[in-house]
Amino acid sequence: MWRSRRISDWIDEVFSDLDEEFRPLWNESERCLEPLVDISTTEDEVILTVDLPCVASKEDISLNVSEESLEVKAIMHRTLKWEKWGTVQKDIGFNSFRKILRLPEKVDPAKANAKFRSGILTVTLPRVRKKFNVKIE
Amino acid sequence: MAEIVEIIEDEEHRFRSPVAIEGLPDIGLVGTIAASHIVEQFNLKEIAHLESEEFPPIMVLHKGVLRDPVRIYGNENLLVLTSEIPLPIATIQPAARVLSKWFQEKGVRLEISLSGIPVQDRVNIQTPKVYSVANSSESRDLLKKSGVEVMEEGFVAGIYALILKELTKIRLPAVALLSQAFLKYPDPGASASVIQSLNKVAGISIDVKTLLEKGDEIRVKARDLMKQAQGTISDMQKPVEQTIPIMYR
Repeated sequence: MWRSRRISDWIDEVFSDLDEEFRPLWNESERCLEPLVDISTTEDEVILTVDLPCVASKEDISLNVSEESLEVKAIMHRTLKWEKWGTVQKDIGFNSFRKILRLPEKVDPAKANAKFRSGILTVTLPRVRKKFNVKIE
Repeated sequence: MAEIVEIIEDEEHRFRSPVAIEGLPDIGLVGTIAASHIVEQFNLKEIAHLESEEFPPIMVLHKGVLRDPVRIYGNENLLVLTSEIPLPIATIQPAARVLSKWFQEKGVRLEISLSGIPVQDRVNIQTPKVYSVANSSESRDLLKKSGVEVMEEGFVAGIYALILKELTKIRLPAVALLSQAFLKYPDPGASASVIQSLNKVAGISIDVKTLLEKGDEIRVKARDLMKQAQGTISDMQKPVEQTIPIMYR
């Protein structure tokens, strides 16, 4: 049972990674683009940056964090249009960003900190790590 | 031995000792964004493209016309290499060799690669600084006269490093202009900085006002290419540029 669960977890992870690799960075029905994201981990923190061009101020961004995930939504200050867009071959406009991320480590959402500067959102999330003092004999 | 990368010219063109500019997808797409802006500003026409069985099976449609993704634009005095796909790692070395030979055949007097170097606090930098690398004392003197800071120590990685190497072998002056840039996000601000340095080095005048005005739109529209390029950036050992070489000389 343990073994089969581990294999299924691994399969889920592989498909999740493939989905992340090949999923288009846009959603036509919601007129929504997926922003580029970078995640790094230090000893104490998970640090995320999100590229949000065309977003004017922090008031246009909403951020929801749980222990294991983060959702960012942002409204652009104008609609960006493409003519004859890719696979749908029609004029299309996008006016928002949305991304849900699975975090690489458990974090403490109550202590999250965020800054928005030059169109880049930086979110710092303290890692939840239990430390035990080991007595040396 | 035949190379796995070929340059295909649609017709014969004449050149007058042109300057060749390379702007392939790399750190912050600095070179690609800059090259596209230069092509647009000078209204350059496509004169050749690169082909390889190692390139992904992709063609690009623009206004209904099928185009190869790796293209060379130009006129008598200027050649600009750019691409709409990241070059696979297996084609980097042969592409550098083939391009260097082709530049020599076309009488190129100076090759200039445009790229970026990643900086962690890019978000706090208003105007990115540009550093440069030269392949000879002649091109180093040119950079110093132009007032662009020359890198004296460090690693350089990617196709521009190999083009510099190949052009050194045939004694063709070459430089790389490298702007501070975001590693993983399209960076039109860095492209503008690199063009301003290019203006000084090549003695040309390219306005960056429209590039900066359209910066946000470019950042949105370049996201897909940036995402594709991230794998290549890692394959090209780009993080090594942020390390310090051992002091043996």
